[in-house]
Amino acid sequence: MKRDLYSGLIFIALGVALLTILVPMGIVEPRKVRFAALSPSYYPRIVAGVLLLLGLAVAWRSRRETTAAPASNRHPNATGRIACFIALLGAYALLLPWLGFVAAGFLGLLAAFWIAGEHRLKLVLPLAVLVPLMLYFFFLKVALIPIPTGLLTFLLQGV
Amino acid sequence: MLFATWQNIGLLGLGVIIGTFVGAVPGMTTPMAVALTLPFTFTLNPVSGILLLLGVYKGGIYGGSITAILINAPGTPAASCTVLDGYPLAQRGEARRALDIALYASCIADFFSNISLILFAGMLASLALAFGSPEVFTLILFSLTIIAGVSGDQLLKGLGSAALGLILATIGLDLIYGTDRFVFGEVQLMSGLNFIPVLIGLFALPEIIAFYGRKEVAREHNPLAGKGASLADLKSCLKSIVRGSFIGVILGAIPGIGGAPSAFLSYSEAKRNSKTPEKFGTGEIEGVAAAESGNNGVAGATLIPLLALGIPGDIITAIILGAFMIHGLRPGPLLFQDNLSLIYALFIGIMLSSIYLLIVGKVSIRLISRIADIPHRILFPIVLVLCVFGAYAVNNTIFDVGVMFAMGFIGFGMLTLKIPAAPFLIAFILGPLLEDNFRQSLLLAKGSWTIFFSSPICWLFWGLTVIAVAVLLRRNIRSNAMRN
Repeated sequence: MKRDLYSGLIFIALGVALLTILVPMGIVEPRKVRFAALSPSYYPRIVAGVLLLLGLAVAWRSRRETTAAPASNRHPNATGRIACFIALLGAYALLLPWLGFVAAGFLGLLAAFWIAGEHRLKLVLPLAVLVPLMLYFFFLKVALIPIPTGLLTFLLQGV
Repeated sequence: MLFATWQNIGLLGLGVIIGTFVGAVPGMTTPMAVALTLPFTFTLNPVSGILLLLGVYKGGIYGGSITAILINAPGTPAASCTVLDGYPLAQRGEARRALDIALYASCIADFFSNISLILFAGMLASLALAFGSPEVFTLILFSLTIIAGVSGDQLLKGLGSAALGLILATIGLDLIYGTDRFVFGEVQLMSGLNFIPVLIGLFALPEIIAFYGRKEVAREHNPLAGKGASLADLKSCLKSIVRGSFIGVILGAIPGIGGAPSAFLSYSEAKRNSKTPEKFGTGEIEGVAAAESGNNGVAGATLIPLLALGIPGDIITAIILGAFMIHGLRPGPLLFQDNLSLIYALFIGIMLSSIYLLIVGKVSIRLISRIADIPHRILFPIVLVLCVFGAYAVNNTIFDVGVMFAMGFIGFGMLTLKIPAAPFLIAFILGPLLEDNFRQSLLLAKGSWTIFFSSPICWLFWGLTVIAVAVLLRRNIRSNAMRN
């Protein structure tokens, strides 16, 4: 992978997007600004410009870059495992409000263990139950932070 | 006495234990440990919370050396120098001796570093009281040059990463006019992004995602056989330990240098001054002592610019700066004026941490060597759930969990492309300060940029910035030339 080239292109794309779309659309300018330098978009524009220049410099420097060899400790099924784990994170984030932290933690842990290659149910089941429960009670009882319980409200309420 | 409570004494010790254990696990970095501990400090009083984090910091730096010696895998980047002689010693069956010397060197260097913090932080803070907005702006601009220090050999990418952090820090309501910036109708974004979900997402999650792309190598077991270090060993290493401590203190007080360069400089000086330099790298006990003293000598000293000027010297002190802010405190000269009792409580705690380090190190070596054997396929999924709870606990909002996941994906992308994440975070934390003082100065000067050159302090920081940039560019050009 040509890391420097891709990095440079990403910086350039972000710099251009900021200057042409995100800053004009995302920053609300007051009707009257006393000095141009006090405008809310003045500083972000400078930073976006710097980002664009840095992107050009990184991309320019990458012209002699050779494709990096894959790491020696790369897993044979690295892409599949990473894709599965990223999908798990997406599902975790989406289902968290509905499932609650304990149930989502249980399912998330089981899936994460499974993708990582740890399939011993005698080990993973107790861990998947205990870890979210212990964190839940720590935050609730010690740190006094209420944690959403979602589906398990009927079980955990009042405990 | 703000310090003298059982809670403070206990939490400091707990912090050292957590840090030592986490630092001993390869792949779990000290910044990651401090970041994950941070949400647990929200309901504590400021002194207890910050002492807990300082304990984790100190313990983490020492803990990194344990696996460096035992299994040739430094728990922290700063412990990478310890590997050179520590692992050969372990292979010869002298792991216990190497671990003992690493512990003694760490404690002595940590003690020196703490004394320097107590002596110099107050002096620097009284000087900083003369600072106004333009002076603070130039100071922060200078402190942003530390980004180069944490960018390694990826200076341009590090600067790009910092620019992204500065942009992300502008999200929310504009401080002068109160208008929206990058809010896009999302109410939760009006107060900006909280730095803890950003931090956890950027540092913990990418490591977990990256783990799924790696083969898990079965670790060779290293029983802690052999004798411990003798008094003669300590005597023979004392000169290198003291030298390494001073190197650590000096480099630690300069923002952005960090433990690794200090450890290597201390090691190379010990080798240069040794009667048997050829033994270094083959299992020389003095090499372990020099590396560990240089590494731990920075621990207290990095807090000098943090407490006196409000400038984080490295990524861990940047997180600790965030902890101060969460508790409504702003490190800097005013902290010495308004919260002197808190400063003294922290100083006492920091001194005590050296003693804790010695006790925890002695007691826990055997246990830690077992903990470090926990397979990552069990450890990392548990850390993931801890991250989710930790991100939520900041503001009791699931939105922050979403921010953490989003930052995790960005962080993984950065890791894959070798874009350093530390500059992003430092810029994200310093960004609002930089912009506020920039615009306040312009407001005072009615839009004229000459205000940034109006005082000798401004000129001093401009000069230092130019020198720092010139040195960094020269170093970068040289290293590029050597690589090509």
